[in-house]
Amino acid sequence: MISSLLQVLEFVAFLAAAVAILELYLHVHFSYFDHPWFVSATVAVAPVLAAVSGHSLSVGHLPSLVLAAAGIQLVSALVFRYVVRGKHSLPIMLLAPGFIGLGMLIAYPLAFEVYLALHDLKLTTIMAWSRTGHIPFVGFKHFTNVFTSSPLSSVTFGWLFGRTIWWTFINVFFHVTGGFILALLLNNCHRFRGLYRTFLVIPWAMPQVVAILALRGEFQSQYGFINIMLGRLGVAPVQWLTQHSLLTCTIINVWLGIPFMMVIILGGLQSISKHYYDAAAIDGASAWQQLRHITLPLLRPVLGPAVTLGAVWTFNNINVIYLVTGQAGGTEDADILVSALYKAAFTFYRYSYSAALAIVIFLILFIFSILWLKFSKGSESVYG
Amino acid sequence: MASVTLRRISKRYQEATVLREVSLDIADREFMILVGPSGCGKSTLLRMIAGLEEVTEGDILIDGKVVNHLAPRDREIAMVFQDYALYPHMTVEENMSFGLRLRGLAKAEIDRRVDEAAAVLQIKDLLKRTPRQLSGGQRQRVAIGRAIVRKPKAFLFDEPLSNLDAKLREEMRIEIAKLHQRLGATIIYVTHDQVEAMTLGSRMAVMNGGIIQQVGTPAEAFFRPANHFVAGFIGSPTMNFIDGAVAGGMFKSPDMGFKLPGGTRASGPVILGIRPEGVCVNKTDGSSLSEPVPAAIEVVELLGYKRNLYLKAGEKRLLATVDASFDGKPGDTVSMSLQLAGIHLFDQETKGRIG
Ligand SMILES: Nc1ncnc2c1ncn2[C@@H]1O[C@H](COP(=O)(O)OP(=O)(O)OP(=O)(O)O)[C@@H](O)[C@H]1O
Ligand SMILES: [Mg+2]
Repeated sequence: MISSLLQVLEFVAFLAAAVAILELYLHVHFSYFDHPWFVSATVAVAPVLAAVSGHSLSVGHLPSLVLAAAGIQLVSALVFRYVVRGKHSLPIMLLAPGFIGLGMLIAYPLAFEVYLALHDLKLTTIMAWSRTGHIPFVGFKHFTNVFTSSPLSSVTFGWLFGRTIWWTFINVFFHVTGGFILALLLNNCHRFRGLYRTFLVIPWAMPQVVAILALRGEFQSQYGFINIMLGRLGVAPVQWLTQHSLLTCTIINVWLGIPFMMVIILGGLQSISKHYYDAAAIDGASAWQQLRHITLPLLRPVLGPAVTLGAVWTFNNINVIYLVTGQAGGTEDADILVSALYKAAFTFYRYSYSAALAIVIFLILFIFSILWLKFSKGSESVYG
Repeated sequence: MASVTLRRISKRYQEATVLREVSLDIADREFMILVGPSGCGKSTLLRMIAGLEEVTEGDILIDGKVVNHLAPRDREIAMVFQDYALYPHMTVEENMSFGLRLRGLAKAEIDRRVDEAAAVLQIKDLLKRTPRQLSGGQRQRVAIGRAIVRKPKAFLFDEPLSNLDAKLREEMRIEIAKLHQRLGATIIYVTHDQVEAMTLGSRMAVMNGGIIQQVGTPAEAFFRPANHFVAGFIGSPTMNFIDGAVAGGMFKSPDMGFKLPGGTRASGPVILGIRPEGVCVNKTDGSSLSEPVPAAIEVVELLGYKRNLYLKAGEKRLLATVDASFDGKPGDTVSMSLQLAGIHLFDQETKGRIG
């Protein structure tokens, strides 16, 4: 208890120190860049500081650290002296702490992931790593492994990728159509609208784990609500969780994802001026034509980003699949890239392999998002 | 083109009655103005004619046929909205052709009609732009163009010029008048602008509180207002009103008294109305003017070709509009008299016109 509190305090103190050092560094470089001794003094001080801190943190290869510090500081000092020249000092100094946060939360993990992917950390090397801090370097071997071996026991990367695309497409399709239909109903309903909306948002507002586990129970083959109801209709029990796991996961995820789209689309519908519908009615548009020619185009600015987000979330959705199929003896039939990634890392302990797989998945999503935003013009407003 | 008839139309929203028993006959090719203060129900009436609002009671007839239960698209009517309501995601051309495309007209015919309307409205260069790339006046033209291409039975305009600046409004007013002559269309035009109301229409219906107060030509409404409200609403600057009583052909108020022209049937408490142009200052022409009373000038405004004098006779304040050449300054005392021919008398109880 006390020790974990102390750890937190230590971390806070570490952050404060990092911010203070960075600000001090910037202050010196913004205020004294024109001083004749500026470059030589800072380049002289930097290796000393690097040597002291490197020694106290017992980093190996002190000479190269010292050399690197001197080199980096030389470049930095020259940039501050001849390019920056004290300009924009206030905004940069105010932004600096934010960059420390970004660095710790994004840049460092990303760099570590690349490092992991190029080395070989797995169940058999992890003990050696914790003792010596050394993992064997293997280059791009894991990246080729990603495409040639299975992250799980049998299913290949190609299959997983195809299944992920299918899963994403089907889910987003039903999220959008379901959300759209519900939003239209809600938009045209004036009594109890707030009440209905509250009910419809519940699956989304509930902690996902609870919602998923509750629904998984309903799909249980013997005691689940669904099979009991089917049994009443004379249908033989369906093995939802083992034989139709992908379908089950899809149904659950559709149910979970509709409320988000509904809320977004409802907001979009309510922001469309009533006047356009009046004008269209006078122009002779039927209800269907108004939907087609007024509602849909004017919803594009909200639908575009919502579909992009929804697709990325679904592509990355591990909760449903892991919670439904992830327990011991669970099937691999429903796994998509990210759930396979999770299992590879935390069920099969193939850390470096997983890091490489994660980088591949990241690149796929990144390219997809860029292309999608470019071609759907989703981020463009129709109103200007 | 078509005639439009309203038969004892009422509109209620839950509790509030917005229109009461409105009856109006609009002939084929007529330019009818609906004018009245804000909130009197002009837009509601127009939207009911268009089919955008339900009729609570009464009948709407187009070309003699009851259309109460027809959807807007089956009424063959076009409407120009106050804020234009151009579809933001369509180009000018698409905006104008939308109704025609929905009706499945041939492409060639659509192009011909759009071109023709664009030529009339001088928006040919704008066809490929979207509404957000247009100025207010250009949007207004596009909105009118969208109405014209449809060749509807009647046009409804809801304060189409109220978002434009004074100069543009004047230009567009003349455009609309020309358009009416050119198309020979039935037009129902809502405004609360005095000048539009007086100059555009062949007849006007003055509304207040959901009731039509007077229907007539602009001249009738101006020279023979049917009641106190119309008298005060039509004309700018507004008419002066003096509360008083008539007895034996004599008008008497606490601040003045004079003999009314012979033949007046009025007697008892009245409201006397006189337009500012009918208030004369330092004029002596016995027979056509009332007996002069002394009045003090409080404020003088030069309008250019005219001058407004704010006068105080006894306790009564009146506005007089006189020639710009009038030479007087605040504090002067003048002799004020009223043109007998310009006097309107209204019953204090019913507010209706007497005589
Ligand atoms: N949906 C509605 N529910 C209740 N009252 C309404 C509704 N729509 C309009 N009203 C009322 O009806 C009256 C007439 O409104 P309308 O828009 O026809 O006025 P208007 O004469 O066009 O005014 P303006 O010159 O300001 O445009 C107003 O008092 C308004 O508050
Ligand atoms: Mg209105």
